[in-house]
Amino acid sequence: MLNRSICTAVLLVLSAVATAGDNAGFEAAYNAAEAARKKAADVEYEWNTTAPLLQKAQDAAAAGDYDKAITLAGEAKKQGELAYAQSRYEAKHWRDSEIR
Amino acid sequence: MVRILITAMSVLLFASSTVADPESDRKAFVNYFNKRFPNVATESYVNGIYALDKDAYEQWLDIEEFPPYEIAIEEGEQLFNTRFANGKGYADCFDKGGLGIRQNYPYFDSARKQVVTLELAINECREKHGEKPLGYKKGAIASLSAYMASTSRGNIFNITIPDKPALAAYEEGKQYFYSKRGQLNFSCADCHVSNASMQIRADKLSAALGHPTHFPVYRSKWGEMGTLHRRFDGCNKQVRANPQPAQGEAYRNLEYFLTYMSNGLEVNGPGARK
Ligand code: HEC
Repeated sequence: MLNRSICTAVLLVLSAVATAGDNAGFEAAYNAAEAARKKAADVEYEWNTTAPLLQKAQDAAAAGDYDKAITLAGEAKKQGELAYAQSRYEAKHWRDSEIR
Repeated sequence: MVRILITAMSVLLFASSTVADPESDRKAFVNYFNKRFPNVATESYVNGIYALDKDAYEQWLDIEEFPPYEIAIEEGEQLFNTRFANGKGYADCFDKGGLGIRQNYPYFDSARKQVVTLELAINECREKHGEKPLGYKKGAIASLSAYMASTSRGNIFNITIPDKPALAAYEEGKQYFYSKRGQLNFSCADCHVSNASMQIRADKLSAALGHPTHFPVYRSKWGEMGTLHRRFDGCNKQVRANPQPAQGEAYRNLEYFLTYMSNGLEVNGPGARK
């Protein structure tokens, strides 16, 4: 009886640790993605596909699917980075297509 | 000495390659379309895609017989002539009582160093007289703008660039126009210059020349009126870019550049489009 409840307690603690680990992993991935999104937004280059990805990532995390949540956050981060790089590239090259 | 000379030369070179000359920009813009579509008269670019697409033009003429924006003009006239709570009205805020002035918008306010569009001026008028500002994309503001445009039909766009800060705003608008953005990596120019008259999904693309002349517009797809910035918003989203706020600095500068390109064309707003 005692053994069993210790077992349960240990299991509970373990699963809590596992969850906390995934959640922390998700939070780190999410924060990195949000920072990348904001960097693009600050130069008015944010894609309109990025915020929906972040929302989906949050939904997945809320449903406990941290793997999916982290993957989605990673995609959002990538988009933020690409959009920012696009803004830098265009700042240099926009005149190439100017009508003269 | 040599170093100074080199510096001076590179400054000169830099200056000549980046300083804008809006009038030669505009001429090159008009020339581009004239060369590409030799059978299209410059004046007819005010008709958007209907200048380039004969079949659509015929259908559009039918629509123009019972213009869907007529109600908005009437509503706009009523709103325009309704006094504010303090007894003043829109006419008190504008040159010539606000009638026949659409061709001068947007203008550059040198004191405030910013572009003022007609819609911005409408809201500033309201706020000056203690009224709440209107939403910028549709509704009452589109009706007011439609009425004011209707009193200006046939007048010739005459956007001026009075000073250096104005030139900087023009340049910003120009850069926005030519910069690719969004997940699809398209600029305004990619669609409305290079691909003008081409089919994209259900639409054929209009030329950027003449773009602002007929705004605000009744769009069948919207089932209602919308302002130019509402259209910018939609075009940004089409390439999966986040739109800028209506009447924010980016869109006002874009409108400034785009309308300057249409200098010499006539006001024909409000308009009707698919
Ligand atoms: C992916 C292509 C695409 C891009 C990029 C694009 N547009 Fe458009 N735009 C369209 C389509 C399609 C229409 C509807 C058909 C037409 O009138 O050209 C349209 C319509 C318009 C109209 C209304 C024309 C009229 O006669 O009423 C304006 C103004 C306009 N676009 C401005 C812009 C500006 C400014 C940009 C850059 C911020 C831009 N567009 C970028 C596809 C595009």
